[in-house]
Amino acid sequence: MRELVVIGFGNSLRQDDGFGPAVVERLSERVDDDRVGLVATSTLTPELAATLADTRRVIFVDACATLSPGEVARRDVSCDRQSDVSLVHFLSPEALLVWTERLYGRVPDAELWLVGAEQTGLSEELTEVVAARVDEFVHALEERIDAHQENS
Amino acid sequence: MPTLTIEPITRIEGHARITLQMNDAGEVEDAKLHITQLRGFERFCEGRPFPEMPSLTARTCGICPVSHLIASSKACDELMAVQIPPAAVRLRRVMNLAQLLQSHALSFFHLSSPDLLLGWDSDPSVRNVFGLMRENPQLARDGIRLRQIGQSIIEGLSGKRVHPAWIVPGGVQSPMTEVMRSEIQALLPEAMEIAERTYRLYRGVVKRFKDESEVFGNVPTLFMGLVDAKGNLEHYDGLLRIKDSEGNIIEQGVRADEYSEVIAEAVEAHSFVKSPYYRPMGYPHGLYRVGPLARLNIVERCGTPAADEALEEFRALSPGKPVSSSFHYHYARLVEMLFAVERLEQLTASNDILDRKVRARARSNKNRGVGISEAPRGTLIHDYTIDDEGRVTGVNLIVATGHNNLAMNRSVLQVARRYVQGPKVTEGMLNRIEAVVRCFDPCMSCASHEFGRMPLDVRVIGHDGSELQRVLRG
Repeated sequence: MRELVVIGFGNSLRQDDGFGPAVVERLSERVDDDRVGLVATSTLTPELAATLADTRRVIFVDACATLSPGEVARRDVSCDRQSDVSLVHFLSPEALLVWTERLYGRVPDAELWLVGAEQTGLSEELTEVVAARVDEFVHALEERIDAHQENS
Repeated sequence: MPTLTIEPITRIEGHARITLQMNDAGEVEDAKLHITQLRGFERFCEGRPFPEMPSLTARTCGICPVSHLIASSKACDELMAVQIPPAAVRLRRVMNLAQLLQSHALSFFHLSSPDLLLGWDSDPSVRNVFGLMRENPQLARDGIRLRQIGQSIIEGLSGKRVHPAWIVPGGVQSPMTEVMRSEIQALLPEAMEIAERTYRLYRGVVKRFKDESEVFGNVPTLFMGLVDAKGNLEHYDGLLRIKDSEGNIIEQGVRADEYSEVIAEAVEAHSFVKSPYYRPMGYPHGLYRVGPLARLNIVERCGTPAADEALEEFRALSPGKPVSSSFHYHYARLVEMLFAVERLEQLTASNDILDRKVRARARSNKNRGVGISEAPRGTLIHDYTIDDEGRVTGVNLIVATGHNNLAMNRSVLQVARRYVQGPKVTEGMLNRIEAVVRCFDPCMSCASHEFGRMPLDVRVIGHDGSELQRVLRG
């Protein structure tokens, strides 16, 4: 079983929406450990449930339109059976946990790390205020990975 | 004359609606499937440098970007007038088969299984993937896992699960490493186990659907697809073969650059999707089908042991003639899953696939290039013309859903006439009309879609324009 999986999700053609994948891509240049899974993806899809079923903790990284640009928020994610689980091509972190529980009978501990998006127009470039958070997230995730490695 | 509209259709790739034209006796007079999305790729690609075409057109869809990458890159190979390295051909084949595997898995396990295992008349609140999980959790997990395997192969080769830009004009961007090959090979035994288990399960349940098999698009059409030099199943290269509904080969080997001699395209006012037809038979009589059902109907053999055995069982559905019912697209998809895993085993077993020479480079040397491949849903044609500077001046894309457009319309009409009686619409009627469309696994481009209880707006309109009945749900 994997100790930790980091899933950065968002559309890399939509400016700040690509923050999650950008963080994971940067992290993948610095982390090489079989116990840690790194996933950069456009959307959360059902087959990720198989990955989560075999993981102790997952951290989702995403951009958020309701936070102020560059603002950071972290929260735990629970397996919410009331969440909208009906879409095949896009799932929320909560819904993905529901899929995982129903298919495999277990869910990992889960967190959602967010940054406030400034713009989500057509571009592959993050805005300055959001790009500045990439390294911060990468360092924080590296610290978390180190902590998991020490505990495992 | 009253009209009945079903919108949207759920559990398909994209957006569509259906209208049923009723006569005054309450019988279905006509039926039309409307593809209501406009993508416009043929226009906005004009003026772009041709090497950009694979990446641009791959964005047509998030489910089958690999198919567009392949057909587009093949068209660009033609524009450059190069022969790509043999290892690049093998690697493109590997990715194409991985795409086929994950796409067929999505179609069968996630989109169609709730109908097939729970029944069209079952409670819509449970006729969805969660109902499937309760009824057959192993099947639900198998669907997840097979998709994951297909996507792992795509990601392993290209670094991305969705919109990989690894297939390029002239070949592929990077060779396969020994580690990569081992990782892919390690996945295949489990993929085969799932494909075989699902095939056996389906063979057991298909007998339940005698009624649906008889009327789900069981209409005489032509069948078209690629075949290899021996006339066997082919998804990447080869020549186009067309068979008629009696099993006679009417086009033996059409080259890519000759496709427009046998395929013409009509435009209907009710849909954004073109209506291709077999040119010698004219419009609309020259309707044909592509995709898994058509592919199995036109080939001599699959060319791999388990798939060939399954092909014989498939052909027993209609001895001596092509299998006509569109319901059996599901069956054909499962045979192709077996084939895909077996071919992946064969392709990765050879050391030739590790060759480092994987890309030919050239500028444009021709002004027209046509690339054809078999996408999961059927034949995909990319036809480009460019100017002497390599800028695109014309694009024609014919996708599987377009090829099948006339046949889908005919199929919807057949099902509607069988199940819809009178202006009073029931859940079971609607579900079957939707389900016949789902047999074709149409892809109106990747868009979010719901499954289970669909949001629905059905209107029965009188010939004077008055609304006779409206059913809203969802």
